[in-house]
Amino acid sequence: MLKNRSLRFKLSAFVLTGTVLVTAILMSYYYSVSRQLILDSAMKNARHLTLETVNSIENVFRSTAKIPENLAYVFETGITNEEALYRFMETVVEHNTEIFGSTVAFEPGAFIPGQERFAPYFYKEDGRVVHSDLNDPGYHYHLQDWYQIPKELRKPVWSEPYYDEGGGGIIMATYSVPFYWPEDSKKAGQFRGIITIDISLVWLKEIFEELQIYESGYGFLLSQSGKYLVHPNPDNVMNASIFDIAELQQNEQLRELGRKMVRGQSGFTKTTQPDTGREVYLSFAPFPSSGYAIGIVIPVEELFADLTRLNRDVIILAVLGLLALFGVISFIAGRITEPIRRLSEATALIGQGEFNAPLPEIQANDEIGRLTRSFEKMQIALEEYIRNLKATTAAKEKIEGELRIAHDIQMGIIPRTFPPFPDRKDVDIFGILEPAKAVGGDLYDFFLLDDNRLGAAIGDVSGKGVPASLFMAVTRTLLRAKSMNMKNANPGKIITSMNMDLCTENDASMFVTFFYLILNLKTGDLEYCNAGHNPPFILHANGDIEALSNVHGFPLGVMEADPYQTGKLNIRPGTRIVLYTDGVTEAENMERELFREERLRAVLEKFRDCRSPREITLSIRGAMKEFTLEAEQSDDITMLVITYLGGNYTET
Amino acid sequence: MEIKTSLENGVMTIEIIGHLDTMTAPVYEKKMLELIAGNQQFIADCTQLDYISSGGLRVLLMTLKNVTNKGGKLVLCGLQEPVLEVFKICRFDNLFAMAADKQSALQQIIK
Repeated sequence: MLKNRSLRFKLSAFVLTGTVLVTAILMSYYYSVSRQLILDSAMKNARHLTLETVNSIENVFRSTAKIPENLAYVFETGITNEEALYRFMETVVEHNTEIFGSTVAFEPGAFIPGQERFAPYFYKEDGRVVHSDLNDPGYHYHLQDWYQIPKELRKPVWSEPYYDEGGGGIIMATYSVPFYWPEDSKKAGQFRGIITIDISLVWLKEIFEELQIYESGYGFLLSQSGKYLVHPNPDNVMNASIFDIAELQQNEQLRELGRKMVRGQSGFTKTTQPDTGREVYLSFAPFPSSGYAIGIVIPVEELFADLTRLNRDVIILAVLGLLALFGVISFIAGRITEPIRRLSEATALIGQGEFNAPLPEIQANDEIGRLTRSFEKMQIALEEYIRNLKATTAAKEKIEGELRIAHDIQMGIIPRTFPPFPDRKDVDIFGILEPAKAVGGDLYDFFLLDDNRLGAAIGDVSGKGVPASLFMAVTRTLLRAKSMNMKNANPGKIITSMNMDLCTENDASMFVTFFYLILNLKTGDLEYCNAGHNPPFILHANGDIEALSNVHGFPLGVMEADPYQTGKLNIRPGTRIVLYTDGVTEAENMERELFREERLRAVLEKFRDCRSPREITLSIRGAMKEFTLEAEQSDDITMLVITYLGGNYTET
Repeated sequence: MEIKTSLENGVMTIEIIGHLDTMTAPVYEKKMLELIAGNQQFIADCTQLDYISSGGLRVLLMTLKNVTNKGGKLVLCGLQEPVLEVFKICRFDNLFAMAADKQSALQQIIK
């Protein structure tokens, strides 16, 4: 997937991926640490708030409790008459704003001996303190909880809260303190009665309402029995207990919590509100004095609200930031890779053959700049190379064309029509000339000097190729010219004359080995001259084979030497003359062995009775091919075979 | 084809090793022209010359001409059988001064 994408994309993608990963890891770590910190902090805060609330409420309870405790003390030490009691109590109730009412309830006969029961109740009404008597036959105060329990326990007790029917339906609680006979009395230490005060618990609600627990967090207050004294839902207040709710919601966790709180435990837990499904934290603690318990409910959502918001903001910022980063990286990557792109476009053009395609201008001295400059150099070198190549190829083609023409010219010089004299019955000739290169330095030639005489020559210019072919052309021209001019001269004279001409202006020291013969077709008289050439073979009519090696001179063009000698011989009809150049005898095979005269002679012996020059020539050529096989032709191969059939030739 | 040269008593010896043909002739020719500029007496040691073609003959001829024109002397020595044959055909054995070996060649030059 990545293989075909641009550098720019890859760079951007990689950097971005790395950044995203790092950012994500950092953020996760940060979030989880923050969350834990917040939770710890919230927990501390909740505890703190809980305890603070407990303390402030406790303070009120305690200070309120002091009053009857003090009263109890007073009564223990002695208020003996009724009037004193009335006055005292009126003062107490009047001066203490918290107290709605107060009772002093005595054991039978404990106040005024003989008087069965005495329980005056003092309360505020319309701004005055009035009193009534609880000793009502229908009431039986001594059987009430507020009397019995502290009596049994021998210590002060807060009552369960209750609604005051008479006083406007507010929640009240009663604090009952037992008092005893004074030390110096006969019943010292014995239970004498109960002092109570009734206080409203409405201020509790106010305290709770003032609690700011995040958005919708709240506090609630349980009585000793688990009944809700304070709760955001007014229906619950004084109506339901925590156990009722737990029952209703089938919430075992809530029930357990209720038990803990009622037992006076404190703690911090996490739970789910069944009705709302919200997760909440709960901090709870007891009121030591009253046995009530406080619970503070903190919605988890709200607890972490700030963190959640912060997290969201950070994520948004991070995403925006990463997008911006991606944009910047993409831009930078594009800037960096743009030269590469342009370079690659330009070199693609060059690759297609547009060698002049302009390379991008890159000023920088970085790697790309250097690369571009290298490309420029390469481009220039390439252009020059192509230019040179074109020129060289054109020149070569021109030369090759010229060579082809030269080859044709050269081949045109040499007689190639066989049989050359179809009307004549006295002679038959066949020859081949195969240059090693396009043009060569070998030559053969034959022509009728007059009706009776045939001139034939073979030659080999030193070297190969164009220089040799030029020299060969000159030689051949000289031969024809001299032969025609000096019609009655013998070969020796003609060759001597040719040599003179060839020696002048021969700076290149070129020379040509040459053999020239004149055959009288009527008489069979053969005259010949050899200027450094391979001696030709004579295949006599009777089958003898000899080489004409007795006449010998320098090759032509070497130096102006003594006149050349002419050899003489008479041949019978049926005689064959085999002229060849050293391209035959020096033909090489792959093992660098030479064909040599021996092998040539062997072929001639096989054909000693063959009269056809064509057959003889081609057989020699065939034998050579069999010998050399794959090896390259190293020299010009030239052969000329003349069969003298004679003026009166008849088949024998 | 390799060429080794040595100078002894004013005589420059050129040792021709390998094949002297149209391909290798230019190398020999260049060397030879250099040497001729400063020397007059030459020995061409052909002991290790395996093969000579007409192109090779040409440059030897050229050597002979150049040396002779300057009034100097050229002696060939140590010619092997195949090479000697070629010389004989062209009658170059009459043209060039030849010796069997380097010693005889030196003697010939001094004479």
